[in-house]
Amino acid sequence: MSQTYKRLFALGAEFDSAASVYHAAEKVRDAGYTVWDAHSPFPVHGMDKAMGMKKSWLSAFVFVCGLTGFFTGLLLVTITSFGIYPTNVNGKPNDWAHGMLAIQFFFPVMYELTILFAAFGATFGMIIRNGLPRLHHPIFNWSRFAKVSDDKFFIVIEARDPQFSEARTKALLEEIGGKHVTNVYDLE
Amino acid sequence: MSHHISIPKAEKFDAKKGAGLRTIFQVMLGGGVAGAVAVGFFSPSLFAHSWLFAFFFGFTILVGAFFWNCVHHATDAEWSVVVRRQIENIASLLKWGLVIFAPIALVCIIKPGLLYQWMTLHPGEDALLDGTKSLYLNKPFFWVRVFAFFGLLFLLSNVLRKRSMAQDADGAASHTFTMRKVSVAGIPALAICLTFGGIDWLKALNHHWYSTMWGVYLFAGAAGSSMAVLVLACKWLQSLGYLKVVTEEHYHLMGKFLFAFTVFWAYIGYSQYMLITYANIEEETVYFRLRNTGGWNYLSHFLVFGRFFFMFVPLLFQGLKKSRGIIFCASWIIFMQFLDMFIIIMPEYSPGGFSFAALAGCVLTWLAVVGLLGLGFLKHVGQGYVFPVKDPRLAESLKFTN
Repeated sequence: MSQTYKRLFALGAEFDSAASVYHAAEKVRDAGYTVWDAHSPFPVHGMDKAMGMKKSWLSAFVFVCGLTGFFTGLLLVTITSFGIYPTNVNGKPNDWAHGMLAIQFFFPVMYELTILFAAFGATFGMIIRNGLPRLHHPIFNWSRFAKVSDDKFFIVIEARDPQFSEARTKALLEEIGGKHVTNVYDLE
Repeated sequence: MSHHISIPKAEKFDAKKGAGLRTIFQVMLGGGVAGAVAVGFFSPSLFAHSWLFAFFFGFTILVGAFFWNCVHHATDAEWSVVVRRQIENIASLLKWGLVIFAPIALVCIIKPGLLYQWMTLHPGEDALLDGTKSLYLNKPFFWVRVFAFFGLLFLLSNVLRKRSMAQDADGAASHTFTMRKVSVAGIPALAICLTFGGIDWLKALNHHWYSTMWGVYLFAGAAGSSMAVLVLACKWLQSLGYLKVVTEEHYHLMGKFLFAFTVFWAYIGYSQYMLITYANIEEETVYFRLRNTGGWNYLSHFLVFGRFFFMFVPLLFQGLKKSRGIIFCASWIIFMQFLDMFIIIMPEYSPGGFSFAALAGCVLTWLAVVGLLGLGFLKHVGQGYVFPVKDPRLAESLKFTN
């Protein structure tokens, strides 16, 4: 049964070494592309700078999540212990007026919820930010791309990039040393 | 990666450039010693306590630096090669440990009751000391421990520095392997010295009190504050035009350690507080009853907020760690180490509450000890290269990114 590939997803280029993909990435960055990615079998130090990537906003999200956890813990312990069920533990103050003076004994709850919420924020924030979970990606339609987990390096410029033009992008990828420059199609 | 790394030129520190700081340290030492002698005439007890404070402040910085030195070799770290010589310059000042301890030793010989009551009690006077505790708390063993701790730390820290400087000359990798072996032995050695030193010199101020978290609490403060000292030392050398190999990436990582030990300090301090409070045993709560009443209570609260909350939020930010802001954080952490040691020791001198005499005594002795150690540091900086030029891991350290 034959399949029909319709929409152009991206242009992919293959590189043989980390050094060549690194310098190629710098040139793609300088050409003004924004929706593209470099793929490598292992982390390449400095690649974020070569690609012109800015610092991720995930840390701010994690901070807000941690803060939320802290105040959730604070409300959880104070509402239950001072408000709806005042408990006398070792004679420590248990009303709203004086309970805050003994707030240090509730810190484990606030501390744990701060960590828990921040960890959730980091994990799920990262997953969502990366567009996961997804079962398939159009780049897998390119058979050579399987080598990315072995010994090849790739730069993939997506068609939705405002700078993208099938002819000019292809010329750029070939000029910067990309091999097997290929049109990768999306499955409609 | 893929940047060409050129090994930078070896740098030797020009002693003339450090003249300004040397004068400051000389004035601190001179003024501090004169002031400490005056304090001694005014009140021998105040002198004993405040010198103990200053000694232990310096001791934590040195032991902390020795810890970072050992961790560097034991973990075969890459990032810290460029700053390691400065770590060694600080840690090897442990050879003067006995010098800064000497006034305490004199007090223990001439009038032991000033600091350690257990030294003066006779059998039968304190039931606690008649039991098995006397197997540990007795004078001969006390002196054996003093010499053992300082001897061990002196030996290990100076072997590391000597080997490191020898590698500058011949570049042999065998030095790295030797240093690694010494460091793996050094970590338990420094843990024992700091823990039992803390027990002997601080906890024994009240020999009835005990806390199982004492050693690790002191360690948390020591490691954090000596990393802060390292940051300041590197920034100072850079302001004179040296050590340009230390980049914002290295400061970022040192800032991460400042942050880590801010959190760790709070974690350990809180755990100690909470365990003692919940167990509610008379002999343990005495520590916090003294420090959480009267004028000491305000300082204790200030310590919690200053050392933890105030440092927690700024050190979260990457931008701050990479900027000059880290100088403020490092200075603040050292100030908080001052306060921490102050709250540990001085309430034993002035149980009624905070006194300005206690603060004045501590500032004067602190000036003397820091002035002395600072001069030693400057001497060390001038002796060798500013960073280990032939370390096999230097290239990795130069191109380090977070």
